[in-house]
Amino acid sequence: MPVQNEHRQATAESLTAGSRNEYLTFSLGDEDYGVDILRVREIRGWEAVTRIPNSPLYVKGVLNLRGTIVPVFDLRLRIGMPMRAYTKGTVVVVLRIVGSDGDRNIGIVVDDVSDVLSMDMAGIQRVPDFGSRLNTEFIFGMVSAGKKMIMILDVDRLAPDHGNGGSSCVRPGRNVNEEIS
Amino acid sequence: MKINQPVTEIERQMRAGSILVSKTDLKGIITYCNKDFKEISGFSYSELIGKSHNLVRHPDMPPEAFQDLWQTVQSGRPWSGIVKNRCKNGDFYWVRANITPLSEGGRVTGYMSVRTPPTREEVADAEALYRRVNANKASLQPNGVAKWISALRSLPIKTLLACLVFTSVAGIATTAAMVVMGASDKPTLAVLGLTGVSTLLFGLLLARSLIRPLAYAQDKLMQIAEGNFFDWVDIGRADEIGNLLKTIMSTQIKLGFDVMDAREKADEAKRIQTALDNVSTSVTVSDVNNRLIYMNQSAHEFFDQLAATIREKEPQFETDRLIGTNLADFFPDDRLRDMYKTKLLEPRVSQLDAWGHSIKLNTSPVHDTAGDYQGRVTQWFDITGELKVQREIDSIVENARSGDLTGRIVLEGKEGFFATLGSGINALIEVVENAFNDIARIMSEMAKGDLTKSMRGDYKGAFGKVQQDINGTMANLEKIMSQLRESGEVITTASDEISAGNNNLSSRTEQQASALQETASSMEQLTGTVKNNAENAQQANLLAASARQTAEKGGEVVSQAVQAMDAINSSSNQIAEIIGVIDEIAFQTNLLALNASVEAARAGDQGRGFAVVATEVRNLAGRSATAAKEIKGLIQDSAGKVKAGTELVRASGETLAEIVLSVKKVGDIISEIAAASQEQSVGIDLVNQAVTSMDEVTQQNAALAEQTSAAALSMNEKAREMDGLMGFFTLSKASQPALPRAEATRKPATTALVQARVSSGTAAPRHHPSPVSFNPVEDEGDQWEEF
Amino acid sequence: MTIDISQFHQVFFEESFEGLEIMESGLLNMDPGEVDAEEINAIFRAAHSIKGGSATFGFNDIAAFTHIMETLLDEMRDGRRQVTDKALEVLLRSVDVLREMLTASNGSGGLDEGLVKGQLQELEAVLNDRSDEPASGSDSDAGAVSTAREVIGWHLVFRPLPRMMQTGNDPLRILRELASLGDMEVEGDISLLPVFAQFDPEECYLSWNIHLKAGVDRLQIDEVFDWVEDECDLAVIPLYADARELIAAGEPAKDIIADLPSTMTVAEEPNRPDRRKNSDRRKADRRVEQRRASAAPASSSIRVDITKIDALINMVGELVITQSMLSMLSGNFHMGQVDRLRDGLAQLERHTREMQESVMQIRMLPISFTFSRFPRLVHDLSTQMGKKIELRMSGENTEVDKTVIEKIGDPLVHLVRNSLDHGIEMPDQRVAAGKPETGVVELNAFHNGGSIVIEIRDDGKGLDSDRIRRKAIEKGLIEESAKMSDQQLHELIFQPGFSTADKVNDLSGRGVGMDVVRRNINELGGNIEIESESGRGSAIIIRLPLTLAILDGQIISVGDEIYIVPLISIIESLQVRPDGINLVAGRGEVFKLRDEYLPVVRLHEVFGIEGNRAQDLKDGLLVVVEGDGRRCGILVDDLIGQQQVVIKSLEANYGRVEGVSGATILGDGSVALILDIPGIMRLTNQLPELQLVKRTA
Repeated sequence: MPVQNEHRQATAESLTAGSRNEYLTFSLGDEDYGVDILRVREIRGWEAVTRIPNSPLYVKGVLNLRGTIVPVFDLRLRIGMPMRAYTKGTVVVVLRIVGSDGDRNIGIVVDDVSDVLSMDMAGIQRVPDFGSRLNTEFIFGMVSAGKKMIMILDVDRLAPDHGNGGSSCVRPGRNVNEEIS
Repeated sequence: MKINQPVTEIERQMRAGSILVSKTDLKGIITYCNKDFKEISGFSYSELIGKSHNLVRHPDMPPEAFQDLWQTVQSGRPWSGIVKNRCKNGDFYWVRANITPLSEGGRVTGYMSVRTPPTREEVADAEALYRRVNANKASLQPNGVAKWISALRSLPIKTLLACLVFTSVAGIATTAAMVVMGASDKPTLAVLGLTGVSTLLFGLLLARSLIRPLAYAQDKLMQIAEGNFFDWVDIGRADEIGNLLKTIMSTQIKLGFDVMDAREKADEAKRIQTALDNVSTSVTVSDVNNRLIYMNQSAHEFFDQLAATIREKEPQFETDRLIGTNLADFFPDDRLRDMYKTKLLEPRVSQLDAWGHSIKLNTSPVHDTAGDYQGRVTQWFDITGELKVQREIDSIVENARSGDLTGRIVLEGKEGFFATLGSGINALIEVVENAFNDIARIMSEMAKGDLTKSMRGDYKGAFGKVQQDINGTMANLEKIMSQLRESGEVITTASDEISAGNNNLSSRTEQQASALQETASSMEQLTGTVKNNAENAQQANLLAASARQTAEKGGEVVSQAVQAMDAINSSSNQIAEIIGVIDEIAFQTNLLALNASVEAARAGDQGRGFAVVATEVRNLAGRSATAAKEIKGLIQDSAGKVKAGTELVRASGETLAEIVLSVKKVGDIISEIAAASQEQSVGIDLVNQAVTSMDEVTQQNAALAEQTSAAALSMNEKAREMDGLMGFFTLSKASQPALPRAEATRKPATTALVQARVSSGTAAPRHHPSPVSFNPVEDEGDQWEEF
Repeated sequence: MTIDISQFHQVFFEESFEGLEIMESGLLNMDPGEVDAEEINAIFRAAHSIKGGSATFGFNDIAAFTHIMETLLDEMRDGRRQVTDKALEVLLRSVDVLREMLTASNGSGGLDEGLVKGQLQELEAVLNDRSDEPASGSDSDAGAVSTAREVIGWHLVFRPLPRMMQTGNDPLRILRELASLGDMEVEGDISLLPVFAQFDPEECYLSWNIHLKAGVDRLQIDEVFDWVEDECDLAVIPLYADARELIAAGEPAKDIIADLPSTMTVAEEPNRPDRRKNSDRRKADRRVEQRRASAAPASSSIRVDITKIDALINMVGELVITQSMLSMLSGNFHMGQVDRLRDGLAQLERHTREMQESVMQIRMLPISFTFSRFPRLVHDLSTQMGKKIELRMSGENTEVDKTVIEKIGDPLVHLVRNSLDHGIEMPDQRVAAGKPETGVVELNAFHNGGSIVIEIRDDGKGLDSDRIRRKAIEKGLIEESAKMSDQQLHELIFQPGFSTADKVNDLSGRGVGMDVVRRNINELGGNIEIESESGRGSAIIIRLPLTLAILDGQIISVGDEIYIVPLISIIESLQVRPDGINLVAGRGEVFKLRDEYLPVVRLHEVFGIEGNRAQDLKDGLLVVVEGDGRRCGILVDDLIGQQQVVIKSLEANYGRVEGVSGATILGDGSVALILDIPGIMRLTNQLPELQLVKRTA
């Protein structure tokens, strides 16, 4: 149905050759990542957040996004990178993620935001298989922009299984392979 | 059943001839026991009397034995048996115990036991029996054959008599009947014969039961008559003879007990007499009629000594015949004689002066157990010698009191206490006499001026104190005298030295005066030089002050430069902060622009124009950030340079400050020099004045030195006079050598003295060879002895 | 330019669900035989707008389904058809099916096509039943039977309304589309043509009888007529294989139509057992209920009284004035203006508060939104159980927070079902007990203090204390020897897994009952009590806070962290002396509060807070709280203040956090979490386990 499939349709569209999509890129150390700009709600500087007791390490806490309580995840920890101390340049990107039970907002902490890039979707390549060495479940694909290689995040996978209690956040059951072919 | 513990395996043997006797009441409580009993049992009388007899019961004894005993004696019959008894410490002893009831007025009031030593065979048999009884293998009651035999043996004599008469009568009757019936002779004879035989048999039996025991009883009674009570009868029989034997046994026991009791009492009396016999005090005992009935060994000797004297008036007096006579008959004193002839009511002490002796008598009445007067006992003491010595001592003491210390108690013929007393008094008088003689001797010597004598001898107590004080007085006197003499010597020597020193002084004073004049002239030269010096210093000071002013000005300039640099620095910092803000704004702008891009992207085509603007803004923000970063770099660079300049200026400022400081120091020093020169010149003037006045004083000194010289000479003469006077006293050798030695060291001492004065009065050290007498005050009182 | 109409989907669905509610309540209010024109009009309008909307958005199946309902309703409205029990039943069930279809279309759940088809046929059967007699039960199954028969073609009677062409619809286009489905014979009907003088070129006077010789799906045909449904009279009659002869015989189509009902009667299978029908229906019913329970759309829009909006707008106007005044002040501020500034701020505060109240008012809805479903429920269930039950409701206009409205529905349904199922006896039993044959279930809502009270009362048989006791012993909930009052026994029914139903039926007694109800109520910050008198009936009393959006909170601090404790949970706060503390089993701390020993909960341990000041009990404060009927003392560093806080959902973007019921935004814009007291007690009980998890995490 339309609402449900919006994202999938968008993905499908973006994958048709020659179409260009805009991506917000940011960096984690030397690595560059990108998210679909349509999923970005807001970009804001890092401010202290309210800790959530008994939550996973990567959950930094919650912040107040104009009256909405939004959880903030440390992207480095979320995707298994080492922690880095936050600086003035540390940025929180508030994303809209799409789940089976509706949209949700999460904030991810990244080292720095770089740019908004328009990229040809045809250039997206699948992530090489690192086997169990490397967790690539959050990476949707890779694309090169100039000299840089940008990893496109699959934002819908960033949310945990709906907090501690429920697990109603059902992940879309598909893999990159199918999407590309 | 009382079981006494502990027990040991040690057996005590009864002494041969000892007999243990005890009495108990009906309940077996001991009311009496003799010494032998006490000794072998190991208990004391108090532990035995009033206690149950089973105190000495040995656990090896079967209870049946005592049951038998009690049954027997309670039925009024005596009991005899071998008994093992236990001592207090657990040892044991075997006795043959014989117990009989005691009757008073036909009623049993208690039991009496007499125990004699058993033979070893008896003991062995009894031990074996008791062991078996205790192991329940045997009984004390006879059984089986033994019972029968015993029963047969106890057939009463009456039965035997009846049998005898019956058989005889029956036989004779049968015979008679047969005769009457006209039976043939042969059967009649046979019956008669049979009757005869049986009669004979019973007769024999009867004789056996009667005659032998009777003979036995007779034998035992004979033994008792002979005083052997302890050959116990055998009471195994139950017939009439047995009863007789039992009675004999009771008699044995009773008699044995009484005999033992009597024997003990006799022993006690004998002991007392023996003791009295050997007492050293003379004791006599008279009966109620005042006849002498006893005199002990000592009394006998006492009267033997007096016998000769007594016989002068009473020729019939014989010591050996005194027993039975009345001693008062020989007393020359009537009063005493009367006293001695009447009944004595209470103890009294009296003195008898007779027969050349003084005799003291202690007399006491003697009463029997009923309290009736039975005579008197007298102790005789010869006190003649004591009285004599007492008189002698009285006279000697009286003499001594009046100052005659020559008298002495004659010790010959005195013994014991009096000898000791006499020699003691003699020693006392001797001591006092010696002491006074000694004191007199010393005092007379002192009067002659000899202070060397002292009290010698070993005096104690008050004498010792007197000796000590006199000796002390002498010693102190001598010490004072010797010190006086030494002082005199010192004064003499010193006055000699003073006059010599004065001579020396006056010559030196002259030398000094000339030296002073030379000094005064050189001082004037010095004054001129110093003044010149001060003027130069003043000029240098002015120059230094001007140099300092210049340097200070330079310093101010530098510090202003430093301030300016600081201001630049803080401005740079502010700029850096502002740039930080700009940077932050650029960052925020970037974020905003990114957000705008996001919104634009969301708006799709409509937002495209906006996206361009957002990109522009982002570019601007980026350029701002870059510019800010560049400015930041520049500012940092300039800040660094300013900092370096500041450092340089600060360093030069510091150097200038140092220069100012140094110049100031130079000025200060020069000022000080100028001031010092001024002061110097003043000082030199003062010195000049001082030299002039010193010159005057030196002149005066010379005059005074001469006067002193004269005075020293006169003092020397006086000292020699005193020395002569002091020669009167004889002093101990120890103090005398001071004089010759003083003479011998006279020369060096003088030198030393002068040297001491030149070196401005450092006191002569103690170890110095010069006599310490030089400074008598420092001398310790007893130090003279060391010289 | 194309318009992405999907953005209007949500509006459509919301409107449609509201329409369904209206239809349902309307249908329930109708009595057989009487035609309340107003009522039926309202139902008709609702159905009509659903049909129009679904057609517009391409939900053709819904449109087709609604169309048939509409036709039926139309006939009723016009008095062409009698309102029968049977018809009402079918319509009510159709409403359910329609709801299911809409829900499925909204992306939350699949659709049982068979169910739709069955209902459709049932509807058509009613529609086609022209007799005055109440349709026999077997009638409704005709459709179901017919599905098994092969459709070889369709006979259509298409009679456009005269105005059809004015709306831009072209009958020719429709005919062309039909032709694309297969061969067809079309017969024009010009009987309605007026005399020429009256001829209006913009009106359509023609009609057609169409014989479509293709076994196409009904939906395909409906699709063709999608846009003209309201503009024409249309009859679509399936032609079956066994009717082929008729057609082959070349009889006029008109006759066929006229004969149709009898044809279908012939075709029906006569002796379908009732039981099966009932069970099917029950199944369907249950499905609907389940759907409602799980995926009842927590509608994200709200209908607000215009006066409330006006008040709000006034307030905003005031606020704007205040704001402009303040910004004027801030332009060149000097200390002389301090008083004015203060006044301005006070005004701002007042307006803000009033605005807050107004906005809160907007969230308040009458409880009738929840109550409205019960007449239907009672109607259905009582019929099904053969009980006679009257539902009385009062206080439907009592206003409650929207969130409460949304969440209280399911628990209430459960409770009402319980009353119907277990409370009210069968009529004969009631008569035997000397009670009126008809049982009464009352639903009351009223305000009481700061709470709203909802009561569910019945005059049934009440709770059977003995049976509860037996059951509790059997389940090991209590000791056999335990002495308990009736009240205490009644409390046991709230224990998990407790069900007293002797045999499980499909209505209740599934063991997932009262404990879930209680938990739901507790989650809403309310509580539930039960009163029961054997033979006289039971009452369940629910107390709920008026609003869930704002609560009075006590702000506490532990270490650097700030939390909110709902003031309603707090009994008192105190400083505890060390000698007032006792240890249980060496670890569990308890303290004595008057005559009661209460466990101590160290919040920093439960939440893993670091840097707390009150390591020792005497350094901190104990906040004595009550939750789930239990009490404990929570150790905190400090009490900071009390204030009203706006509850924000953590779950919306994150998820449930045990021990936390929500979040709020403090004055400085930071987020503070609101403690969930029962949750904290649960957490405390699993503390060692929790720490283990933390270590391994």
